[in-house]
Amino acid sequence: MIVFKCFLRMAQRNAGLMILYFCIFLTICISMQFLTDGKGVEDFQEESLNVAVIDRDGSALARELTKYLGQRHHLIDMPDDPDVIQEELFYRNVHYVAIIPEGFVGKLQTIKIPGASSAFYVDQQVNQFLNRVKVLEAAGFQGEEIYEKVAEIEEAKTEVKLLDKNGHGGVWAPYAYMFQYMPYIILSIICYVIGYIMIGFRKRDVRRRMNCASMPPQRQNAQLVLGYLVLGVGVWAVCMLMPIILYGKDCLADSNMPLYMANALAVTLVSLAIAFVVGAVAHKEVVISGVVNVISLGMSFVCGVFVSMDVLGKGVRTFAQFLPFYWYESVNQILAMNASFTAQQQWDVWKGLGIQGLFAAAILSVGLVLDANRS
Amino acid sequence: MHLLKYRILQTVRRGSVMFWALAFPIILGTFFYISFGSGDMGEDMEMIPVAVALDGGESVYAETFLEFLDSMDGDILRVTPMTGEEAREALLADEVAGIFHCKETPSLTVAGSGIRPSILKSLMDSYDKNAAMFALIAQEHPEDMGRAAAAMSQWREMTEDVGVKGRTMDPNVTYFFALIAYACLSGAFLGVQSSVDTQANLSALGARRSITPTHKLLLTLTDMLALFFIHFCNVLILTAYIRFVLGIDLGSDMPSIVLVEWMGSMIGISLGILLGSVSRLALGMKMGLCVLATLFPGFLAGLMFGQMKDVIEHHCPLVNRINPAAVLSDAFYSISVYNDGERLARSVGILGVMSVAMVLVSYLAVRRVRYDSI
Repeated sequence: MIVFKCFLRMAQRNAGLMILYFCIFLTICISMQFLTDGKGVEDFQEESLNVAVIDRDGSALARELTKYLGQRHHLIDMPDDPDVIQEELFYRNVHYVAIIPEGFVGKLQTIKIPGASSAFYVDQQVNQFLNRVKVLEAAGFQGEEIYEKVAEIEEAKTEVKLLDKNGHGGVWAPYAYMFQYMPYIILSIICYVIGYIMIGFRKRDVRRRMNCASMPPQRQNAQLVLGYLVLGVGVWAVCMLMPIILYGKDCLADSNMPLYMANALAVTLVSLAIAFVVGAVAHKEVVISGVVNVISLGMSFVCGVFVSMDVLGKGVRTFAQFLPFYWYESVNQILAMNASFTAQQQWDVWKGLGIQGLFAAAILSVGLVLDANRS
Repeated sequence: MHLLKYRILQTVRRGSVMFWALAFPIILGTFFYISFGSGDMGEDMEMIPVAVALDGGESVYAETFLEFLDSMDGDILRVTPMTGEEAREALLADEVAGIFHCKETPSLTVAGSGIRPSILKSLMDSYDKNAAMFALIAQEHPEDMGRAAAAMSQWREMTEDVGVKGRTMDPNVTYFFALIAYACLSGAFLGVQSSVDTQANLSALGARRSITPTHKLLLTLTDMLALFFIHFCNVLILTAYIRFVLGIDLGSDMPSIVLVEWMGSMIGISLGILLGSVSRLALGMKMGLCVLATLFPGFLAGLMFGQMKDVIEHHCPLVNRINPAAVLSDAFYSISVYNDGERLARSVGILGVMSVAMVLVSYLAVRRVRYDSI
C-alpha cells in the first residue's frame, strides 16, 4: 500500500493548505447563512420595501396612490433631483422610485435597483391600484368615493391554506439551504486540496519512477483512489459537522437528516472523481484555480446551487440534467419540502443518489483514460 | 524595451497558464449567460401545474372561478381537474404546485413558499379582489356593469421602468460586473507565478535573474508592466466577449470601463506579487492565499449571489468600501447604470490608492532581497 501511504503522507504535509481551503470555503458557506438569515437569497415573498414617490401632479389620484403605497411599504422622502435619486438608489437607501408626472395620464415612470426581484411586486400593486380606479370610474363612481371603494376592495381576504409537508410551516429549514450550497463547498475543497497533492505525483521524475516500479499502474491508481476516498470522507465529515454545530438539535431531529448526509456523500464521490480528472489535466498550481473555478462555479450556477431551480428556464434545466449537481439539488429539494415521501418521491430520491453514483463512476473512467494517455 | 518584450513573450508562451488565465472567465461568463439568458430570469418558465378541486358544489361563483382558471390554462397554468382527495395526494407528491378549490368562496392550498406558490397566491389574490370589485359594482351601479367589464378587459401595465439614467439595464448585469471584477483580481495568480520566477530560492530562472547585472528596480518594473499588459489584454478580451458575443449591455461609456479595468488589473497583479514576495510560504500556500484574496472578495461583491453586495451594504457598508471587487463593481455601476461622474471619480480614486499602495508595497518587498553565498 505504498502509494496509498505516500498519498496520505503528502496530504499530511499539505495539512496547512487543507486547513486554509477548509477555512475559505466554510467561511463562505457560513457567511451565506448568516447574511441571508438562513432563508436563502431568493425570497419571493412580498416584503415591505423602501419606496419613494415623487409627485409632480398633486392631484387626488396622485395623493391616493402615494397613500396606498405608504400603507404597504416604507415611504422615503425624496427630492425631485436626479442626482439625489441616483445617490439613494446606489447606496440602496431606496429600492423603488415612482414618478407621478404632471397631468398624470398614461404610464407611471418607475426607477428600480437593477436586479431587485422584490420590486416586481410594487409594480403589480401599482398596476392593480390604477386599473381598479379606471374600472370604478367606468362603473360610475366619482371623486373620493373611488378611493374609498378601492380601500374596501383591498380588505377582501384571500383564503390560502398551507399544507405543511415538512414540519417547518412550508418553508425550508435553514440547514436545508446550507445543504443546497454544499456541492460547491465540497467540490471546491476537494479539487483544490487533491489538485495540489496530485501536482507532486505528476512531476516528471516522480512519474517516471512510478512507471518503472514493479507495481502495475492499475494497482497504483487503485491505491490513489483509496487515498482519495479517505480524504473525501474526511471532507464530508467536516462539512456534515457544520450544520450540526450551527443548528444543533433542530438539525439532528430532522427525520431526513440521514438522507441529507447520504446525498452529500454522493456528491462527495462525484467531487472526488472530478478531482481525479483535474489532477490528470492540471500540472501547474496556477492552472488549478482556473479549472476548479470553471467547473465548480459554472456547474453551480447552471444546476441551481446558488439560484433556486424554479427560476431557471426550461432549456437550462434540460441542459443541467447532464450535470451531476442537478440530481443532488433535485434530491435536496424533495428532502427540504417533505417530511414523509410518496412512493414516487422515494423512487426520485434513490434515483438521484444512484445517478450521482453513475456520474462518479463515469467521470472517474474518463480520468483514468486521460491519466493513461498522459503516461 | 528588450526586457519588456522578452518578458511578455516568456509569459505568453506558457500555454497552459495563459489558456486558463484567459479562458476561465470566458467559460464562466458563458455559464452565467446559459443560466440567466440575456433578459429576466425565468422568462421561459414552465407552466405551473395546478389541481382544480371540483367537489365544492355548483354555484355561479364556482363556475366564474373555473372560467378564470380556464383562461390561463395552457399559458401560465396547466390545470387538471380532480377530486379533493386526489388533489391533496397530488400536492403531497409534488405533482401540482397548488390546489384551487372551486366553491362558493374559492380558495387556494399550497405546500410551501417559493416562486410558484407565490405566483399562485398572487393570482388568487387578484381574482378575489376583482370579484369583490364587481360585487360592489353590481350592488351600487348595476347599470354600468357593461362599461366596467369593458374597462376591465383593457387591463394593462400602468408602469414604465425608465432606469436610473433613462435607460433600463439587464437585471442580471450585476453578475457580469462581479465576474469582470473577479477576473481583474485573478491576475493575482499570474503575479504569484511571476514572483516565483524572480526569487532565486524558488526557481532556477529566479537564480539566473538574480545574478544579472540589470538593476533590480528595472527587472521588477519590467515584470510588473509585462504582467499588467498581458492581464489587461485578457480582461479586455473578456469584456469584448461579454459585450459583443453574449450581447450583455455594459453601458455606452467604454473608455471609462477600460480605465477601471486597467486599475483592476493593476490591483490584481500587484496583489499577486505582494503575496508571492512577502512570505516564505510554499507556492501551494501562496496560491491558497490568492484564492482567499480573490474568491472571498468576489463572493462579497456578488459573484455567487447577485444581491450579496446589497446585503453587505445594509449590514456592514465599510466592507464594500475596502473590498476591491466591490469597489470595481461599484465603479462599473457608476459608469453603466448611474452615469454619475462624481461617484465614478470616488470609486476610481479608491481604486487608484489601492493599486498604487499595492504596487509600492510589492516593489519594496522584492527590491532589496539578497542571497548569501554559502
